[in-house]
Amino acid sequence: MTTDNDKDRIRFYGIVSVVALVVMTWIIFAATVVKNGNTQGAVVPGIIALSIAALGASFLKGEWGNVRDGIPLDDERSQRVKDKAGAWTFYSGIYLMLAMSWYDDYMLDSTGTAAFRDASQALGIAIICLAALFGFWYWYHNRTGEVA
Amino acid sequence: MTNDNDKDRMRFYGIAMVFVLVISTALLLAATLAKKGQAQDAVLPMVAAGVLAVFAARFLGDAWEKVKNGIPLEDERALRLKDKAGAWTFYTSIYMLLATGWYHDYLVDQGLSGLDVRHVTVGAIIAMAMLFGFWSWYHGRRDEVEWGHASGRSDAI
Repeated sequence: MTTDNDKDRIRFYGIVSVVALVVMTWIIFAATVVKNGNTQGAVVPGIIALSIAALGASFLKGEWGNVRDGIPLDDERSQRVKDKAGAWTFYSGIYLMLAMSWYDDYMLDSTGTAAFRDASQALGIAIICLAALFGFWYWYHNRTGEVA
Repeated sequence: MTNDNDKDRMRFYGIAMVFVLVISTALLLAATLAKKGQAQDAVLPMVAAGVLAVFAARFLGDAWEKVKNGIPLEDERALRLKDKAGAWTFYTSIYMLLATGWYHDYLVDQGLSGLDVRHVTVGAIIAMAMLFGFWSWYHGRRDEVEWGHASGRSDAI
């Protein structure tokens, strides 16, 4: 029979896999851009990969400490911080989408060129921004402790 | 000095004004489209305005009862419900945005014109608002907002 700690251990390995997959995706993307001769275009994906790797390592180190010591990965407080961070990401995501829409229109009106190549690129940027916003709000609510 | 009920009353009027603004915007859009001879295109904004008006009337009716009787507009449970619904909206909207991006690429691959950035972002906002409504209803119905309550864990942080 699996204990709660076993489940947390499996969950931890799942999180490690996801972080590794995301970092690798960005590295492959940067490598492909370099291979296509656009070295400058690879800088942003490279920085993103490094940032995710650094944040992921710091986060995973803390989680591994919990798993090793038999402390639950998700306690009452972290659950609430996650909910609050998710909710604030949603509220700020609405403004982000509005800003993206207005910025695209503004660029089209003032320069004649759209800010985004197409809808697919705009949505990809929106997803990355939402993930970054979630990270920010998680850090903020975890720090201020205003989850009660 | 304003007490909590006065603040709730002001908040109620603020929420009512937002509803009126959103509904009248949809109605104005429908009227403008109808004026341009695009009667068919005016149906969707009209339906949206009608649905919003029904929800708003129900929501505002409940909220007004609370304000009138001096009950706080937002209690601990309502706040947690809002947080949970918001968080689930964020998680599901990531998949929705991914799916929309893939759908756009699929359309382009098929030789059709892709989606417009402005339409996609505005559509995403509307879809996110609808998802929030759904998750609020879902979590409110399932009563799973008191996390840890069922497992007997303490609710205090």
